[in-house]
Amino acid sequence: MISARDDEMEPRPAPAILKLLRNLWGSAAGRVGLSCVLLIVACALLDSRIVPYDPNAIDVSVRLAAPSLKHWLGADQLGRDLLSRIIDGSRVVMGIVVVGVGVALAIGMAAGVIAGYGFRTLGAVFALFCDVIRSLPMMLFALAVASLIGTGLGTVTLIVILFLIPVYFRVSRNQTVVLKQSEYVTAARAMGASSLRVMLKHILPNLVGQMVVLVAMDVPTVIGIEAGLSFLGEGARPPLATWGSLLRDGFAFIREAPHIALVAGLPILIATIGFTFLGEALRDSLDPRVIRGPRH
Amino acid sequence: MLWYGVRRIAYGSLVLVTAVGMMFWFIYVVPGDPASVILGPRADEAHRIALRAEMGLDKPIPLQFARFVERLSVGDLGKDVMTQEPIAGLIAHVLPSTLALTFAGLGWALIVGVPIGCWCAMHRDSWGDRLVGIVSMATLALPTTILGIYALLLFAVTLHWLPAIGLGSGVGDKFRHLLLPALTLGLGWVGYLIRAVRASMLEVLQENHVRTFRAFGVPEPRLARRYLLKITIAPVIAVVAIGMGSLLSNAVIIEIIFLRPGIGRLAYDAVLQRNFPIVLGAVLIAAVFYVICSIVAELLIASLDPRVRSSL
Amino acid sequence: MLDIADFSVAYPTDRGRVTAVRDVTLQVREGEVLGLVGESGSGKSTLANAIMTLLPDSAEVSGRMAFAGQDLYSLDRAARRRLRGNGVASVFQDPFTALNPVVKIGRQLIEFQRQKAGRSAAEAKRLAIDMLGRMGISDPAGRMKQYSFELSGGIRQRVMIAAALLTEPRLLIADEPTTALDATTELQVIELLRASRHLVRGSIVFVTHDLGLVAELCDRVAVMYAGEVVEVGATPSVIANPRHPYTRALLACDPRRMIEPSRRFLTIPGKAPDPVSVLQGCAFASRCAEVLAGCAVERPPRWPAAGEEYARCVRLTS
Repeated sequence: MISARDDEMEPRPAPAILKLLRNLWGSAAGRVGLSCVLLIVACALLDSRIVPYDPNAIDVSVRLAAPSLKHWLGADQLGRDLLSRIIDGSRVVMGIVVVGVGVALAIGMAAGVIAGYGFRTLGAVFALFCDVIRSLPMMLFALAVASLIGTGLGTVTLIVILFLIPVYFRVSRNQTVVLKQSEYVTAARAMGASSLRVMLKHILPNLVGQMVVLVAMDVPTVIGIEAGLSFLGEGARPPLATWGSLLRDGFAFIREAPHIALVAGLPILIATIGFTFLGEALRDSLDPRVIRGPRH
Repeated sequence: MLWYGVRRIAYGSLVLVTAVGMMFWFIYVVPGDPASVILGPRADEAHRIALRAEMGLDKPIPLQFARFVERLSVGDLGKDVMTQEPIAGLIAHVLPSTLALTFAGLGWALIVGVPIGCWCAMHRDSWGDRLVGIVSMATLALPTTILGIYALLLFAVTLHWLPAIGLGSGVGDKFRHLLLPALTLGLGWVGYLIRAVRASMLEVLQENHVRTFRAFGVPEPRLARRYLLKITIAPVIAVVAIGMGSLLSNAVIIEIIFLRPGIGRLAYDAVLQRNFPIVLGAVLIAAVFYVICSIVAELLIASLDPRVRSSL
Repeated sequence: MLDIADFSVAYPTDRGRVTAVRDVTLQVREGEVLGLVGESGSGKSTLANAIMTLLPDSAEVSGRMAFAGQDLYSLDRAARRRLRGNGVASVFQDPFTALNPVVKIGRQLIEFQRQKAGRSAAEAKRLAIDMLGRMGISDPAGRMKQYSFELSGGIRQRVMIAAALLTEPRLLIADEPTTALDATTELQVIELLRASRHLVRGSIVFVTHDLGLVAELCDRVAVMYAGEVVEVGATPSVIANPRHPYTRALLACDPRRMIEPSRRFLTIPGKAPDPVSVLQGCAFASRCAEVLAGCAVERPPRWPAAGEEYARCVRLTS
C-alpha cells in the first residue's frame, strides 16, 4: 500500500530560508542588495518612530534650505524636512509595492498556472489581454486611466497591478507547461490527483523560486511607476509625501534649489540598486543546480 | 514567408481591435459620464446634454461602437473638445518629434550596447565583463524619471553643457536639443541590451559550429561579426520589440522633463485639461505603433534565420 | 609529423584540479593513420583537442607537442590559430551541429579555406564544388547554396570531411567522426575516409572508442586510460597480442568477439578513477584482473623504455 502522506515530503521551510539568507550574504551583490532593502523596509516599517520632524510640518523660515545639521537633507519649498518626508514616503511606496505586487501575483499566477495546465481558450483570451496591455505605453495609458477615475494612490496601484499581471501570467504559464511534463506531476495524476490538487501542491511550490526573483526585480519597476505618475501629478495628492511627489517638487524648483531633486532621487536609487542586486543574488542562489532541496 | 506576414498582421489587428474595444469600454461605458468628465464639475446640465448628444452618447452602445470604429478607420480620431481641431492633425504634428526621440534613444543604445554585449560574452568573467555587468544592472533598473531629472540636473542645470528644454530650431540646434533627452532615454536600454546580447551570445558560443570555425583558424572578431551576430541578434530583436511599449512610455516622461513637444506632452496637457479624446487618440496611435513594431520585428527575425523561414 | 613528449593537460574546476591528460608520449609518423582508443573520460578527446590547439584558455599545459618539428605550445596564440586550417585540420563527432545553421554551406566552405594563402574566393569556391563532388555528393554546385539543416547527417559529415580536405592538411584529426551516425551511414563515411586516404598527404589521428574501426583503418593504435597512454603499437600486433591488461580486457569485451549468442555483455568491472584525484601508481590497478601488490604504489614505466611502441605494465618488466 503506497502511503501518500504529502507532509512527509514537504520541504521544511525554516532552515531553507536561513540557508538562503546565508547564501545571499555570501556574495557581494547579495550583501549590497540585502542591506539596501533592509534599510528601506526598516524606514517603511518604523516610519513615524524615526522621523526627525513631522513630515508635513511647515516651517517657512527654512524654505528651500540646503542640507545642514538641522535638516540633514535640507527642506522643501514649504520648509518641510526632506529626510522625514523621504522616510514617510517609503512607507507609502512600500505599501503600493506590497499591495500591487501581491494582487498582480495572485491573479497573474492563478491565470498562468490554469492556462499552462491546459485550459487553452481561457489561456488564449487572457494572453490576448496581456498583449493588449503590453502594447499600450504605460505612462500614456496611466494618464488616460487617471484622467478617468481620478488621481491618487489607488490609481497608481491599479496601474501597477495591470502592468505586472502580464509578466507573472507569462512566466507562470510557461513554467507550468514545462512542469506539467515532469515525472512527479505525471505520477500524481496517474494516482488520481485532481487537477486542482496537482496545481496547488506540485506546480505552485516549484514556481515560487522564479517568482521571488521576478518580484525582487519588479520592485524597481513599481517604484518607477509610482515615481513617474506622482511626478506627473497623477499619483499622490499633496501634501502626501511619496518619492515621486518629492521628485515633482524637486523638478519644479530645480534651478533655485537643486538639492531637492538630488535628495529626492536618493531613496529611489538605493531601492532600485538594492532590489536589483538582491534579485540577482536570489536568482543565483535559487538556481536549481545549486539547491538540491527535496522539492519533490 | 508571406503567409507568415499575413498571420502576424492578423493577430496584430486582433490586438488593436481589442485595444480599441477596451478603450471604448473605458470611456463610454465605465466611468459614468464622459461628458461631465470632459466638461468638469461646474458644467451646467444643458451643456452636458448637448455634449452628450454631440458625442453620440445618447445612442445605444453598439451603435456608438460602430460609429467609433467607423470614424477610426478613416483616421478620424475625433476633435479636440476645446479648440475643435481634428485630433489626428494634432497628433500628426507632434508625432515626428516623439519618433525622433524614441529612435535616437534606441539607436544609440543599440550602437553602444550590441558590441559591448558581444565583447562581454566573448570575454566572460573578465574584469571588464564584471564591471559592465554591475553598471548595466544598475542603469537598467533605474526609473527613467530619475535618470531624466538627474541628467537634467547634472548636464543642463549645473554644468550648462546642453540645453534643458525645448526642441530647438535648425538642424544643428535641434540635434543639440535632442542629445540629452535621447541619451537619457537610451541609457536604461543600454543596460538591458547589453545583458540580452550577452546572454544570447553566450548561448551561441556554446554551439558546436563555433568550434568548427575556430578549428579552421577563423579569427574571433571575424567569427563573431560575420557568423555569430546574425544568430545572436534574433532573440534580441524580439526583446526590443516587446520593450517598445515601455520605450514610448519613457519617452513620454522624457518629453515632459525636457519640455519637448511630442505625443507625451500632448497627452499630458490633454489630461490636465481633461481633454479626453486627445488622450484616447494618443494611446491608440501608440498601440498601432507597437503592433507595427512587433510585426516588423518578427519579419526581421524570419529574414535573418532561415530555419524560421523554412518552418513557416 | 607529430611528436608528443611527456605532455599533460590539466584544468581547474569547481571540484578541484582535473588532470585530463597525464604524461603522454606519442609519435605520429608522416603518412600513417594512428588510432586513439579509449572509453569516455580516458582523455582521448582532450588529447585530440590539444593536438588541434583548441583547448580552453583555462587549460594548463606542460610538456612538448611538436608538429612538423615545431612545439605548438611555445608558439603564441595567433601562430597556433594560423596553423589551424593550414596544416592541421579537424573533423568532429556531431555533424548535425558542426555547421552554422544560418549561413549557406558554400559560404562556410569558402571561409574555411581562408588560411590558405593565395586562394581567391572564386578559386576557393571552385575547389569546394570539386571536393564535394569527390565526396560523392550529388549536385555539388546546388548544395553550396543550401543550409545545413536541409542536408542529412551523412551528407553533412561528408561536407565536413570535404572542408577538412580542402585545407590540404598535413595532419588530420578525426574525433569520433562516425559515433553520431547510424550504422549504414557510418559504413558509408568509413568507406569514404578509406577511399580519400590518398587525398590526405599527411597523417591522420583517428579518435574512437570502437576497436573494430581501428582494426579496419589504422596503421598504429594508442590505447588510453585515465589520461594516460597505456599501450601503443602497430594495429595488427596490438590486436593479436595485446600487452596491457586494459587492452586485453577491451578486446575481450568487444561484442564482435562473441562466439555464441548470449544475453550478457562482458564488461570491465569497476569505475575509472575520479579525474580530480591524484593518482598513485598504475591508473588501471583498481580494475585490473592481473594486479600485483606493487601496482598501486608505483607508476609502471614505459616498456620498452625507448621507441615508439610500448605499454605501461609492471608485468612486462619483470
